[in-house]
Amino acid sequence: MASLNVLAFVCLAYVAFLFFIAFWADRMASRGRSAAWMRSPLIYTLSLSVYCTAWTFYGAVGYAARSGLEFVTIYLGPSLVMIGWWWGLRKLVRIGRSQRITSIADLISSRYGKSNLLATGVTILAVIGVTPYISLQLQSVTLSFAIFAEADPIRGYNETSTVFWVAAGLAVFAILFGTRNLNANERHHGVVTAIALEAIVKLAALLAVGVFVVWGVAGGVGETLERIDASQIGQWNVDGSRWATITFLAAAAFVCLPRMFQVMVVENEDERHLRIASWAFPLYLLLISMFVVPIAVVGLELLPAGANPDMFVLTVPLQQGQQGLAVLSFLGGFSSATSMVIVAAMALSTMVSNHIVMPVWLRLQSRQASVSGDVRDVVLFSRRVSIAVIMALGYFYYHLSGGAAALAAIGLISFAGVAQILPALVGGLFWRGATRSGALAGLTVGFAIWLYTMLLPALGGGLLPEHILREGLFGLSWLRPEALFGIEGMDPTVHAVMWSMSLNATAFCLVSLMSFPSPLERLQGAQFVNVFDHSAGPRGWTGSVAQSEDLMIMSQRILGASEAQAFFQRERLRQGGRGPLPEPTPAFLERLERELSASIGAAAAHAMIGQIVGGSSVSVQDLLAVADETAQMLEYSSRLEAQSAELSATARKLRETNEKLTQISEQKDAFLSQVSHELRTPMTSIRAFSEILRDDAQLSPHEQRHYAGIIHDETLRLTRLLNDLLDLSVLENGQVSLNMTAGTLTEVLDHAVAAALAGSDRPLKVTRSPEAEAYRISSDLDRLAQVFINLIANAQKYCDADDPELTISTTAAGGRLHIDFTDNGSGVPADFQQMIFEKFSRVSPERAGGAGLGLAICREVMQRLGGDIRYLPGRSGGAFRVSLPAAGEKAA
Amino acid sequence: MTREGGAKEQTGTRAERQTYRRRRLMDIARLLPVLGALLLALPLLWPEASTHPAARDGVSMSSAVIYVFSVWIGLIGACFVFSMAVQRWADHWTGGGPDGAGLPGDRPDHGEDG
Repeated sequence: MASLNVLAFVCLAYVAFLFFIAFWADRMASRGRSAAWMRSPLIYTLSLSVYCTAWTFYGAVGYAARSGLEFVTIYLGPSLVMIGWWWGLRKLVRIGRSQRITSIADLISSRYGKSNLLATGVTILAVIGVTPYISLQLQSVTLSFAIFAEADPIRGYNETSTVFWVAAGLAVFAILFGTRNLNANERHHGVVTAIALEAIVKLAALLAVGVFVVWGVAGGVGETLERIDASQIGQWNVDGSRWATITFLAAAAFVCLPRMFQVMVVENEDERHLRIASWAFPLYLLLISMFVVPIAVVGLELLPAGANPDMFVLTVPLQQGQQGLAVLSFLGGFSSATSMVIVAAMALSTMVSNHIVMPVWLRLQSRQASVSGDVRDVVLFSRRVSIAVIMALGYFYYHLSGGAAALAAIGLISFAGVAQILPALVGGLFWRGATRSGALAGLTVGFAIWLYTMLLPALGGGLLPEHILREGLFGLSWLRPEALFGIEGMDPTVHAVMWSMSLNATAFCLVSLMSFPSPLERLQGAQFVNVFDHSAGPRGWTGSVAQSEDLMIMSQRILGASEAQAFFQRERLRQGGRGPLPEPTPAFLERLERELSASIGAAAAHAMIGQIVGGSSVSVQDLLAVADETAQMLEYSSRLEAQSAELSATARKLRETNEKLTQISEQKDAFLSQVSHELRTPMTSIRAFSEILRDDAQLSPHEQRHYAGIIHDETLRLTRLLNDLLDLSVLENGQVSLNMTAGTLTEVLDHAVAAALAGSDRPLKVTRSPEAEAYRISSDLDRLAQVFINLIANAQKYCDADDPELTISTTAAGGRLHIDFTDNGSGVPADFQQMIFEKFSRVSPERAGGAGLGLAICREVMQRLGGDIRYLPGRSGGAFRVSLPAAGEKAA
Repeated sequence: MTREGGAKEQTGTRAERQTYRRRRLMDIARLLPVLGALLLALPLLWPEASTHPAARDGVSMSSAVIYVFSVWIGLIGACFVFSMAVQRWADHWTGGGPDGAGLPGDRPDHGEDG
């Protein structure tokens, strides 16, 4: 007799072996050297067998013993779904891959505009819906222990503590398996490989028991068929409504169960695996259920009437003394339970942490800048905690329900719960008009009805008071949980499924038709419904070198050729590969993405790598993120541009100032030498002539007078120069007192022309237009005349025409008078125009008589008078414009 | 010259015929689950066995088992054939070749799904 100790040891050894397999597979995958069979359709098909839980392994026989062939509906539904893969699952898997879906909650939320409310709703529904299922696994493992304990009289056996330890053990197992690491695309090669192995173990175990029963006990196929007909279940006796309902329910649950979604869509390596799985998985189901009826019949025949039919798979070999077969069968059941619990816990914890814990945590942390490292820790921690919580829920459900119900009944409750997702899912995949509000309404209605008509009555135990069950909510008889709207006599399962699904679908459709989707929702809807138009077909995963080449080309464009080559070389050395390029392993891709995101932003880097490696299309969210990053970069670069423009403007101004300063400094130097020259020349002659006057006594009076006259003239010249300098400094310091008087412009010009031309040896023709000059002005007329005289004298001095001519014209515009002095000479050279108004500047020093202060004084004067003087470039000759504020009307 | 032209024409019509066949094959693939559901619903029309064990006028369990499993195997076989056919005609879909957006076999599917 296999003792409990031996059994526990076998279990632990088996778990250790599975763990080793998973660890090894993960290692191979992370090194990018996973064997071809690890990514084969066979592994995919076998991993789908996580559908066959302990419920299948133990419960199917019990189900058959109780209700005949009805058990087979649980497997016919999924078979039909797989056979219809071409229009159903293919689309689902394509969407899952192209949108990088991580769970069924993520899928629903993505379809309906990334609604986190919807994701949270689906998560809660899934957790509550799967809880009975997990408790079913606990119950079956506990029962199987109990069977062995009965036969092992040495040890005391306590059911309660066994359930607890089984739950705790499975939780630890699921935590170890499912949350060892955090994978970006939520794929777990190790777990999938281990599950595939478990699939083989459970199929082999069930087939072994079946073969033993058919050929070892019954004695052949013919005899078995005879025994079947002769047994209690020898007649076709199936309730039609249950047959149809449960087939539908199983088909719906097959798609909606979180763990099925995980292995079918999330863990899918290649869409083409579906092609093989479409017939291979129904075949697996067929093989699993082939011997169920014979085992049930033989069990009913051999075992005493009170024996639990759920345990026939174990008790029949034990009763026949087949210890080895019984242990194999036990392992098969254990495999079924563990694989289901691991995948379900993994899928649910992903959903809980992604859609409930992380949003809350991020909101709490929103003030602090979060580093990616600590987020990973938080995610892992939250997943571990949620696995523990989910297992605890299963444990409490087991306690509440008393652990007495048949396995099949518990399983159907779970199925009906998760099937509530179906309308939102199918509607989302095939109907563009489905909206978020519709999905939310459908889910809420379906979930509420399921809770009221199925889960709470099954729980019993005071959660739903007895009088409500009998008389209905608030005493309304049409609200009785098992006879809604007064329809009695229906099977409770059919009743609950019928009402919850039909009202769910109705609410979904009606609210969808009445509500209006957001733009993001409509975009996502189009992407989902027309996924085959938007995404590329599957590409070969074998062409890994080609992928590396593509990655290399892309990286060179982004990082620059030498950097990219150095990076790839480093990675190749790190991998220790011999090829020219590194293998695109996940670690390598992650580093590459980080490298790229430094250049082009995280979202764009992710989308680009995803395009090359994952074959996934760019989702709207990716586009939004890319647009966001691009906008930030644009803003940044425009800010940079503005700054650089400002800088270059400043630099230009500085350069101009510098040039001007240099010119001024040169002018000053020139002037100083000019001034010293100007001062020295008269001084020299004054000294020379005064010396003559002092030393030469024989000078005639005429000569004396002549010399004294020269000295006098030179002194006058000196005085004039000093006067000019003084005048300018007074003007510049603003200490000048203006003698404002009224007069006409004509008078001032008359005076100026007369004064300037008096005693001139060079003829200058002055053209004036007296009518235009007849303006009354109010100004310091002497000063103004000084300006005019200066300008006329300049023209006289500098005009290089043969017949010098000066035109004085006056115009009035905008409350100002403009008096233009234009000569017919060649004008001021362009490079001097800038500085003719500076002090001490002279265009041609050799021809100048003055010190170059005239125009500077003119400008100072005009500025004091509230006017201006400037040079007019582009005229035929030299042209100056004097502007004055107009005092009033034109003089008569 | 004429021979070559004729050959080209022939391959053209053959390609068209192949496309046609593929579309019908996909129709069959879509109908397969419906057919399966109908066949599996057929037992509901069988006469109910009366609860009294003496009146043995119902269908025996063994024939019910044989019927259900035969339908099941038939569906699996049909699906297997279809999956083989898919592998043959949609190289782009199965062989990892260049993207087969231009292949005619894929188009009607898009249209009807979308």
